[in-house]
Amino acid sequence: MDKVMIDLETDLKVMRECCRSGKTKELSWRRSQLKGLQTFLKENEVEIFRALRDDLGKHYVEAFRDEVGLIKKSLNLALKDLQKWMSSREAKLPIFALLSHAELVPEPLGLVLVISPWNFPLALSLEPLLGAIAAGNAVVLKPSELAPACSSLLFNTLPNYLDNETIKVIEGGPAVGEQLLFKKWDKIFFTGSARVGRIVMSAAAKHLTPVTLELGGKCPAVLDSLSWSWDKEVAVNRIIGAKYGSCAGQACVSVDYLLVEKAFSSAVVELMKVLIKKMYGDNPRESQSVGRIVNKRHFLRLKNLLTDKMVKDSIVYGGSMDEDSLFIEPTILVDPPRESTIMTEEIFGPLLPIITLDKIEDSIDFINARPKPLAIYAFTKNETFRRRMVSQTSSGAVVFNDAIIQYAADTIPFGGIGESGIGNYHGKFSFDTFSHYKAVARRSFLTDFWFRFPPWNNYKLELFETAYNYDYFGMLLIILGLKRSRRRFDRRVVKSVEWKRLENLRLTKADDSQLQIGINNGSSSSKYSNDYCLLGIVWKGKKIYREAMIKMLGNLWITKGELTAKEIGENKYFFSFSDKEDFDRIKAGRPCCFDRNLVVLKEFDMDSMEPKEVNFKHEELWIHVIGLPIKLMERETAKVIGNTTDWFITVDGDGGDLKGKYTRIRVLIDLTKPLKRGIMIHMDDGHIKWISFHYERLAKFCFRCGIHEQSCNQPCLDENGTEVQKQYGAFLIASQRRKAVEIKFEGHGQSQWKNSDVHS
Amino acid sequence: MAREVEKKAVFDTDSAKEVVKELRASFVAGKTKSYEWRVAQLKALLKMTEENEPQIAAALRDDLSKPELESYIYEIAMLKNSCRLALKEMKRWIMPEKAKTSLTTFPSSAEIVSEPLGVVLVISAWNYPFLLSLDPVVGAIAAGNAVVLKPSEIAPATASLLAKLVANYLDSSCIKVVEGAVSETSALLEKKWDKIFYTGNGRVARIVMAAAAKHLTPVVLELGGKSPVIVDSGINLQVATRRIIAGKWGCNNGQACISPDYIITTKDYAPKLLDSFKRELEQFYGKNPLESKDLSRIVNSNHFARLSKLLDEDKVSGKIVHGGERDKNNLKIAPTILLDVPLDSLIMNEEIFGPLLPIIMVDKVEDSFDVINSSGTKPLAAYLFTNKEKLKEKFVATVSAGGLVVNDTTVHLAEHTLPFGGVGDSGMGAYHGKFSFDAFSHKKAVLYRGFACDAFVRYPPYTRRKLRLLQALLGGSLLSIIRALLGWS
Repeated sequence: MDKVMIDLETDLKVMRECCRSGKTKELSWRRSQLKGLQTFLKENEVEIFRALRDDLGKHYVEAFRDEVGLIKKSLNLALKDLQKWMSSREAKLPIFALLSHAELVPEPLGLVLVISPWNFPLALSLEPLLGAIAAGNAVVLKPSELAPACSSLLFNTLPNYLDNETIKVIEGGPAVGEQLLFKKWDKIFFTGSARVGRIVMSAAAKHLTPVTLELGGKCPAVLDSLSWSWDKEVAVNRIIGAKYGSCAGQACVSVDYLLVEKAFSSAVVELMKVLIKKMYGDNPRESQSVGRIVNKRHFLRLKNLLTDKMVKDSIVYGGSMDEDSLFIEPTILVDPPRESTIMTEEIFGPLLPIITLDKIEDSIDFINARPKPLAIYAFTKNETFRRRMVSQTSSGAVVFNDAIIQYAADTIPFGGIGESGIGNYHGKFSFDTFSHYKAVARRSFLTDFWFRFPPWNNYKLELFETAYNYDYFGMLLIILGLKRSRRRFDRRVVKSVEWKRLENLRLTKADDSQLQIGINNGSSSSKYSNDYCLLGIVWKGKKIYREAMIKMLGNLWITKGELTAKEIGENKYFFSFSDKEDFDRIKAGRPCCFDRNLVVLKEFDMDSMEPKEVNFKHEELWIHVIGLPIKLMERETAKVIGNTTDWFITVDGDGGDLKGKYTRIRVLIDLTKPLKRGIMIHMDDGHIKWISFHYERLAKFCFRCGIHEQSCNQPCLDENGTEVQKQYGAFLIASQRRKAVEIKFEGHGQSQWKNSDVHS
Repeated sequence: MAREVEKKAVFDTDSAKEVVKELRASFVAGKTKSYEWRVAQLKALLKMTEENEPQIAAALRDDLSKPELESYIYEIAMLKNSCRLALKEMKRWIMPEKAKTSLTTFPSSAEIVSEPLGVVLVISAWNYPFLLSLDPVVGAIAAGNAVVLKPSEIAPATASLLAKLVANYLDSSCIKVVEGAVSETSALLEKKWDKIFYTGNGRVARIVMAAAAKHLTPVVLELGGKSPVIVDSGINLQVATRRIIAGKWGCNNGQACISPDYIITTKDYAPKLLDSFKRELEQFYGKNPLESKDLSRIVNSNHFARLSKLLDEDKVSGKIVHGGERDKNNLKIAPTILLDVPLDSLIMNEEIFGPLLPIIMVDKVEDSFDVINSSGTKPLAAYLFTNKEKLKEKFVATVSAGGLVVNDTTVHLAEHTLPFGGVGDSGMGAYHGKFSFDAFSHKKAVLYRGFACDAFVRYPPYTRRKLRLLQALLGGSLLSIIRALLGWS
């Protein structure tokens, strides 16, 4: 044994060296090894059949169906698709990564260990082996010592067909297995029991070796009460085939137990008896078609399962055993106790317990109460039940109306979950299991975003944000200096006492957000200013989307200093300005409209006021007084006229400036009252003149009653309770503003665009 | 500390059991499986991040003195991104994938269904305590799992912020944060999980995997490793230097798993490279980098001592050619470059995980592949700066690492179309984008068959004719099937 291990040590060193040299990575090497496997199968078919008969009493048809044939199929597929599998996969990249290129390159893991079981000693050795070869690994295969004929066939014959430097077969029992597990591997692929699976994984942990564990589990078959006799017969045939036909039930994917409805059970049992007879004849022992139990230990284990009296009593068919020839007859049990060993351990033999349920839907709970199986087989035509079975149970695979067949399908992964294993293989999945997908990104030296590098500032932050959001246009705008930073990080904001106060102001938590407008050009105020604050409310409008509102105002107000906007309630906002100039300008620029909704802005002193106290009923507006005789166009008249509204504030212009098409006066109006359309004035000469008012930037108002409101839904009533007809109209909106004012207002912003030094 | 002690008394195996029990009950009830739940949780996570940006940045500053912008770019924005991506793509991810079926199983249809694994444990690291905690959680939620998150106790401010925020914003019957150190983690590891996602170092990873083996729990291990940078001559040196600096000192001052660990360059080119480094470093971090606000500090005094030891080793201390200043009180170390350190020194044999950058010199740039491969371990990332196509191809073909980047550093991390994960000593399993979803999903094979067309050959009694038919069937050739059926072959 020691000598074997010393040899192994040197062998492994050579194998690693070969790996490193890149020999196994070559397509030609992989191809030649796969072809070698093909030749091995072709030239040794008879020996293989014989070995399988010796070890397990497998009929050669079964041996071909489950082992040789399947491997041949897998080899064909691997040889056909190998080049496709090996080619790297392009990964999509956003435009952000301009002139970059990324791909996923599959690369071999290195040196892998495959440990295979005795029940399908050939298939379960060669299937992972061919996956490992296809992926370009050096492999050590340890077949099970419990199938000695196959093991020695693999040990003695297989090396003749393969590259012995990189692929080795090692024979031996648990001691050898243990020795092997001490070594460092790049992957361990184990097929066998959960108990040994745990040992393998613990050993793998020492070297951080990834593992694939193909374990078993109690795979249930669920047989719905099928009405058509053809369906019934096919279903039962398939269950019998999957139970007794696959190495006498000694397969990880074979049916372990059967769930049927109580009312249906006797019919099923009768049908089974008939069909078993048809397949295996009156004397199954004589038929070559049923495999034998692998060894005495397993024979005794199965025998023990039946010793419990309650279990024994539940046998309705078969049950005979022959210890000498290790033969167990196909056996059916109906409702053995659910806590008996036969229902808690994986059976792995030709015993089929049938559990009867009241309703077939109960099977889902029954399955979920047990560890996750490798497969669930459900025979049903009920679409809802199928959907439930897929979504509400968990297993390696779900197969409808058939069993075991999923093992042969190479387009779906074969593997377990939970107690039934980790990882999967078959077809391309085998290749993936033995490959590492290496992410490769390539860049050129040409493009480099300077904002990737420190020293950090908020401008760079903004660029990162747009880049991450793939907002290319926004990025462009920022780079060109056309968009301003909306955000900044300032620890002072978090820490300041004012912030704490603000937190208390929040009216609705859900809508709480904070966006800051304006850039920090280094000269901003050192403290979170509370000197210049405004409270704004969208007057009687619908709820306005917060982001839109803040963004829009930000664009409109273009401030020199910082502007912080914060939603403090529905349609209610808090604005704070770091710069007094901005604050004054915005205040003077009232009314503020958003999407033709009036945004009423009020000054707010954080130290002394509560947001609730603020009265939003009034707002300042500019009014054009039209139709005034020229000689009356002077300050005093304006004041008198202004005071007929709620409150006169000022008049635009002075002296001669006042004489124009109209007089522009600023007044405070009550928003809850109808708009004044104008007034009558008594002229000195006795006649009466109608002076009309036009409102600048008038928001939506009701054309019937003239009140600032989105729209009056109810009919508008006057003081006497009679319905008002349309009394107002768009004529109240001032057609144009005086040019001089416009320049003064917008011009401020314009200069800002130019002055903004965003390239900090 | 007092709080820690109190906690330890409270959180033991029993509490771990309770936590798992509660989450398992929620999972079994199917709560986490619904698409609506997943969307709601991801949205809540996004909102949580958006609304608490200043607090998160403040916590990261407390734990690591991380510059705000770094916190924002590498943690907050990355997380928001993966939330957004998951929200956008999840519908596509959860769709069963149709699989072709072959003649062997004809007639049938097959699909691969992604199902949640169950209750998963995420153990995260301290260097990116926010991102590395929640990024896996995004994947776990998208895949429909119940999650327990154990943030690192070495970043306590972030850990407690996470505990608070997650409890406030997310469904606490399915997503929980457990704060604590070694004893809490051991208590958690004793329980049965359906997946353990660990980010950290190889030593603890072995413990995690051994614990997982007891319950046959699959693991994803995101570890680190010595990620090399190969610098060839004849390149745009300024760009290369800047990119290396951004990856090394610009990523949490070197305390990142994908940070460049050492540089390999030719003897002739090393002086030029060094000059360029000096120039760019000064431009980025000023004359006195210890004062710079743009550099993180070393996380704690243990790590500070470890890094000091690396620098103070006899054969290494003389090799410092730039930086080397240390400020023990503020746990700051200036960007330090060491030239020509011996390969058998400590600094070249463990992951540096700090602002020290050794430069190894070789005669020919091709020799650098041998330097990397002869270490016997596979790093998480490997970087190459060159203009030579041949060298790039050789690099991709011979260097094995979790990810390779040509002419840049660390950028592959930000690409959700690339899996992020190690190989060999740098970990197993990968995540990011759809790969995160896959990491937390079980790919269940579902095969549908009808009752029609039942091939009699499948069943005993077995005969020679059946063998021939099977040979034809598994061979997949229609012609030979017909011939076998007609008995011609």
